[in-house]
Amino acid sequence: MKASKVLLMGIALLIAMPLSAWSQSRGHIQLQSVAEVEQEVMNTEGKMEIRRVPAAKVIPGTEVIFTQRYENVSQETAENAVISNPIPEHMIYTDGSARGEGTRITFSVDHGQSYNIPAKLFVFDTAGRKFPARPKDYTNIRWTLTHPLPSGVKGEVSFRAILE
Amino acid sequence: MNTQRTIHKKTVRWLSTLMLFGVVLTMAFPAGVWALGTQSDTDITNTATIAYSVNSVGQEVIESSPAGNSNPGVGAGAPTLFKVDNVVRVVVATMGDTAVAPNQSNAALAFTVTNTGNTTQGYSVSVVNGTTNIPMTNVRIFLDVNNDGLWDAGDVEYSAGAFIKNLDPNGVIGTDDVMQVLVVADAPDATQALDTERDTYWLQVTTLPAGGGAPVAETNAGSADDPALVDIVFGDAADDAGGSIDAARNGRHADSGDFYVATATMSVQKTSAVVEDPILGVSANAKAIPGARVTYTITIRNTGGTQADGVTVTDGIPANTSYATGLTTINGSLVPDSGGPVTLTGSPATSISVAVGSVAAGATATVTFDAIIN
Repeated sequence: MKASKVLLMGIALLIAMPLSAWSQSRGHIQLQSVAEVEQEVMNTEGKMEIRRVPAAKVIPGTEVIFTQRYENVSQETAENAVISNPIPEHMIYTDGSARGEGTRITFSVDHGQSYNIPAKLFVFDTAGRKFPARPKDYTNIRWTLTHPLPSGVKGEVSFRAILE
Repeated sequence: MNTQRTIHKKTVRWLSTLMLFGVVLTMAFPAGVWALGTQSDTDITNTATIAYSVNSVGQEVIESSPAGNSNPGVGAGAPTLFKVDNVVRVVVATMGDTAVAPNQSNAALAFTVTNTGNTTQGYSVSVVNGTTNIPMTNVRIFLDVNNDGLWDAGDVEYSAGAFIKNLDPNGVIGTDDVMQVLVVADAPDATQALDTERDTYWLQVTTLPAGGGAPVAETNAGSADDPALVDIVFGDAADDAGGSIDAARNGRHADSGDFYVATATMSVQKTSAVVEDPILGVSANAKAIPGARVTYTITIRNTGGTQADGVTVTDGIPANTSYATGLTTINGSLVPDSGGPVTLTGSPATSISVAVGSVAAGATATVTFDAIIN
């Protein structure tokens, strides 16, 4: 009895392992998020140039570049792809820094409940007065891909923010 | 709290403008600009999400991960993380120069020390003598316990380099973010402490770990490091003298104050008025005729920068007049003709000497005496 139970569990494990391995790549798109800072370094010609390095040495006032790299890793075409990214806590969006080729970029000031272009975003003070939203009011950024994403195609979107 | 956040974010906007002009991003910020900042060791995390459809069928969202994730579902990704590093910044500021009188003990130069970094740190101080014109002696360091800028019995002395106390990052947590430190010294006597001469003292503050210990050092300087480690980065400025005493980015900061000798400068003014004559009696219109009484008023003003002690006024009794007894005053109070501050010389008196005592800087003393016209 006991031996057969162990055997059954072993079979179950054998089945489960390939299943979980398959589920790892079940999605169609791979999304990678990296955080980098720019550093001024001397190049071999003795000139200063800006180089990006992983965000490690970050102190208040440091600007960090967040890049989202996407790639369609499936055989099918993905449509209506929308990348959304909450602006990390303790960080303030750098005005005009959002990039994304082939995307329409909108922002949220209500933690992602609604999105719009900067000119159409407003905030309210405690007295209920309406003010145009400033970059520091932004809570989320959204990139809406304007075209379908065929198999194997990749791209990236990014924004910059400063540590408080 | 809201106000602080607002001010701080304005600073951020200002800095971001600077960056447009190519200011180096990572460590080129002037010290003191970031009076507020995110505490070191804070985790900053970022996760992006992608939603999409295939053949018009909505798919489960995919979260990002640092290496790339394609496993759908909320929670299947992993945040991109880095820790906020420890920027060591401290600002020393003089509270002004201090006037000293010859022989003055425990004259104090006051300085404020502010932690403008993002981590609670300990601090020690030391004194560097700059220009030396007055040979000040017995130079010591005190924590100004009651923050009055003056040396008091309750202030606590520290030796150079000794841990004084912890300071929290300015404006971030708590209120214990500024301390006042005094450089206390004694002035020499008047033969050495000459008018307007100055002695410059620099107070240099060194950043220590919270609770004290060896001065902090930068970690992983100049190299890419582990995002999961809290590095120490120096962000302090050089001193106002272009770094001649204290260079930038060394975990220290310095500022200077001067002791200067202030001498008392006295001015004396004498006026007279006939207050009484034998015909009109006491009258504003009394005339200077024989038998009339005249009040002489001597005004002494200390226009110098320090208190004058042992001030004595001496005046002759004018010719053809006689000293009127019992009418001499100091600052409006009658004083006796003998046994007190008044000394009369001659019989009948030909001169009067009045010991006024001390006259503070900027203060006035008034002596009056009366005489009768013969």
